[in-house]
Amino acid sequence: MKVKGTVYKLKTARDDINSEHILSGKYKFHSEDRRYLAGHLFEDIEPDFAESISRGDILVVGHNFGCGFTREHACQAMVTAGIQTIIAKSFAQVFYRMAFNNGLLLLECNTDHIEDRDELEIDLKNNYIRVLTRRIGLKMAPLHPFLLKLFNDGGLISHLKKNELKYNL
Amino acid sequence: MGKTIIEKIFQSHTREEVNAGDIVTLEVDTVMAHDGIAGLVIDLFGQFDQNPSRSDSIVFVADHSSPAPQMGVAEIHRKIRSFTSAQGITHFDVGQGICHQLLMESGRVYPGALIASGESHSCTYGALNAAGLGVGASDIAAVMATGRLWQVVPQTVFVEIRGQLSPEASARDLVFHLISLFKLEFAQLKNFVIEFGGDGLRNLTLAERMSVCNMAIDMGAVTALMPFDKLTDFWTRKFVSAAFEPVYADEDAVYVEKVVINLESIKNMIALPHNSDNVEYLSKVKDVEVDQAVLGTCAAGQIEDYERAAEVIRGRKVKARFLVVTSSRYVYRELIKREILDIFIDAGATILPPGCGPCVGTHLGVVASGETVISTSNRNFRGIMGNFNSNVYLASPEVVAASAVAGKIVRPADLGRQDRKKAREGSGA
Repeated sequence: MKVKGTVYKLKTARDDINSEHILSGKYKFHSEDRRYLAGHLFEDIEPDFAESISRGDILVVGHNFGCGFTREHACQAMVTAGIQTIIAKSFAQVFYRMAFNNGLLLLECNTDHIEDRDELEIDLKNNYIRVLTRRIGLKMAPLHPFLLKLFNDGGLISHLKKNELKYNL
Repeated sequence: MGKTIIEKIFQSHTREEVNAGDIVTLEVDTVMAHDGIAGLVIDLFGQFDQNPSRSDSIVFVADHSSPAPQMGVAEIHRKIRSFTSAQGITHFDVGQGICHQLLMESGRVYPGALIASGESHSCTYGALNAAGLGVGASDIAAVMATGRLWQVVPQTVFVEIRGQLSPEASARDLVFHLISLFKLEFAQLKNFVIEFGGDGLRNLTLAERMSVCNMAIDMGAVTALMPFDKLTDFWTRKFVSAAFEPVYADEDAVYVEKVVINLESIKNMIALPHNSDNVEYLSKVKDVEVDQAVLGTCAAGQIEDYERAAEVIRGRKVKARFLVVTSSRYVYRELIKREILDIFIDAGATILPPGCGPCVGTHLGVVASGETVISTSNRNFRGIMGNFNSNVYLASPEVVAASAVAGKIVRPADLGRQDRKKAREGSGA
């Protein structure tokens, strides 16, 4: 199965982006209003992010994305803002599971070779990312089948509801 | 093939075969949510449109912003009350204490237990030979609905502790040493737990062990485990009524890495802004003035931690704002009884209600721009205490206390006091 989209590569602080960078804790108690949260994504490190991100964009970052104490509101806000896929050199562990639980697709590869506004075609069966705009290909780390199911089902809760409250490992 | 402690605990909670790297589903003994995520958890659980799988396994705690500092939080606290009373779920409401402390004191953390928590520092439970897994709101809602949690089976790194800490050093120094070691040596290692062992472990009090396990997540681990011994037994006799079997690793257990730590070599360390892994020797930190000092939180919330700070503070006055946040009602009462609180109050401290206090910046003790805080908590990211433009240093209770007195970051010895006496076995954590 294939996923396509345009790259949004963060301009600043590509490594070690923590939860506070993604969505400040001061919005923690506004979880009901996802659109509101989406408008405040990355505002402390990239103030024009919320205006520039589009539906279906693929967020590209560096190492250890999502470190720090992880907030699910941050994942939800990214989904609401239209991000479907995040490609990083590496992800923080707790963020990784939380993001899949929210229906995001997280992929690991060397993002030095991906540029802002690249058009990508991601081949999830062969673990390969095609950079269409510059005709190069990148290998990505394979995903556990269960994680792919979470992505296809739109997150953990949808997955469980579709499977009679069982985890379809 | 032999099993490590985490593999044994996982195996006793699933019918699936437990191999590192595989995904399994685990039957959870206790699942916990706190007021930082409870609003979201309740909404997500609502999507299942059914009753909880096992109500008696679920616990909610109001600790992150307790009592409510503003209306938004007050509404969330009310939402929690409505939900938990309708479902017959245990709720530790305002003023009871920190989620982890309450789970431990209420006997839900016992050897071999598997706990899914909505807070990262459930690795603390490793000190009681239990597996605490910090997960997100969706996972918490899923466990409430199904009784099970999905989890990648982690590898185990064995850390052998030898010797004992010198009088000047403390558990927090060991923590920072381990954070530094893991960052240098095992930065590429993914999905692992730390299993502590070795003859030196008995030379760490239970409070010290809890502090060590508390920051396992900052060492890059999924959680931490320690074996059961006399000190664990002392705690379980006092706080646990459930039946349990201590969990020990097999002789032929397989570890992905092994490390030896000699406690004698541990020196005073501190975490500098703005990352808990930005650790440095305390001797290298000079002339850093502090505006606020914070004592308490899940990283240093046992009676012994407050006692150590009191030893340093006794008879002195603080220059910096000194916030003492108690970790639970039980601890609060003990500190009053033992006249520890008197020492803090006489010194000029502000006593905060049981809970997370200033740690996450959503309650009391937010700082102004440009201010510097020294704290016994476990996180110091930019903005963590409510102000993006502040500097947070992390240190042991003794160093925090000494710095509160001096108004700048110093060691207790710099105040000209005698070395603290280590709490003896049997005095309780």
